[in-house]
Amino acid sequence: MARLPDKSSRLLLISTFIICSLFLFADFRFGIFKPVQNFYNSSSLFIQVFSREYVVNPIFNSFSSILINKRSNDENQRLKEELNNLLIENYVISNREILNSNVFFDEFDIKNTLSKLLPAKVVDFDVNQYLCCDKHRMFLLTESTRELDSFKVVINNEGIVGQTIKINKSLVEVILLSDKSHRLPIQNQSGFFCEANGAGVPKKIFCDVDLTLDEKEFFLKQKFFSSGLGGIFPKGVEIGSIYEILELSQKEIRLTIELKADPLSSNFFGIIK
Amino acid sequence: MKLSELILLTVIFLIFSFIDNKVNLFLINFSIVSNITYLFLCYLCFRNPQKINSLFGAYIGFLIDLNQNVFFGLHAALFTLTILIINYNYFRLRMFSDFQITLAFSFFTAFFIGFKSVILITMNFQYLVVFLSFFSAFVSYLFIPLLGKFLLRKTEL
Repeated sequence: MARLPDKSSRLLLISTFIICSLFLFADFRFGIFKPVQNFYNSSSLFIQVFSREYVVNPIFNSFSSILINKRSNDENQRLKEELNNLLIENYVISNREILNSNVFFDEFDIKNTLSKLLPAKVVDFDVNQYLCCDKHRMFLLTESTRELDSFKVVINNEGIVGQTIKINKSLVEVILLSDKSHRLPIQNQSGFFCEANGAGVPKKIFCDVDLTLDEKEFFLKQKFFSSGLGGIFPKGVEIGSIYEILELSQKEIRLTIELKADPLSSNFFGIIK
Repeated sequence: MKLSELILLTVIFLIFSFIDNKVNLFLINFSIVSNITYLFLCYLCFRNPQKINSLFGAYIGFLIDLNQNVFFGLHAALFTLTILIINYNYFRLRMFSDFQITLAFSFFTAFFIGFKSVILITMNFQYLVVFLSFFSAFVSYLFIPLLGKFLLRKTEL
């Protein structure tokens, strides 16, 4: 009889084989282990379905939704930028007559006009300082600052918001119309001219009017336009309307003008080169 | 055998069984049957017959029977029979060269395939499948020892 490796039991080997063969015969002939196999199959199917429905799919869905969200956010951001650029262009086109009459645009030409418009995006705007204090500045990022200089008009889709004061590489510092140190020559439709100062309050500028020489008529909501006298802003662009008339003395009043363009309405601006 | 080793071997055998099933879907058109599971058992039994006894063979066999939904005891009986044969001829096989071992296990595999085919596909039994399985087992066993050494490198098996 053949010698077995150490610790191997001849009885165990043969008896296991015989029992397994009996199992096979019993299942093959009578199918007595079918319930066991059915139970195993149904259990494994249940585990598969359960894990797919409650473990794999939720995890996969959450990952895919994160990816889809990111993609849609990027798409949304891109569309937003395009929309804002279009709104700025639309502002330029819809005000072409006014813009044509200034020193920047000799004759309206859509390609020429748009080539003079440089889209810019806010990179830094201290809103707290804008809301609380009188220094109203913001920093814009442009694709290129070539041919760009200080004292250029900055607009958004609502109108003029300010002017550039410093250019550093692709960063542009903009002083807003409401900045305390900003001056803006304006006029109304009845031929009244004044130099409006930034009020240091969001969307507000003011004009002090001396009534000694002439009587003027002012009323709330009266519109004011840029006069173009400073040589920076185009003439005839709507700047805002009278918000408040304050009597400083018997012969002096202060007109507070609410600006039409809100710099907080958008993150995208256009700089007229 | 330690419990961790038993779990590891169970997982390895189930994975090999799964791979066999998937590979056979493609090989069946060429009348070839993949038998990595069986060859791995042969290798394991020959490597360490003290630990890979007939009870282990029956356990793995029953598990594969359940997993593959075939007659309960088919793999178990064939695995225990294989272990029995290897144990009975252990010292004889030890004297064989690697080539001879490969030939012997390929022969076992052909028998395994033949017996399985008789039980499972009686009406469509093909000698060609058995014949080609011998060669496929011969080729497969060239890689099984390397794979086994890699998978069991941190065990005492």
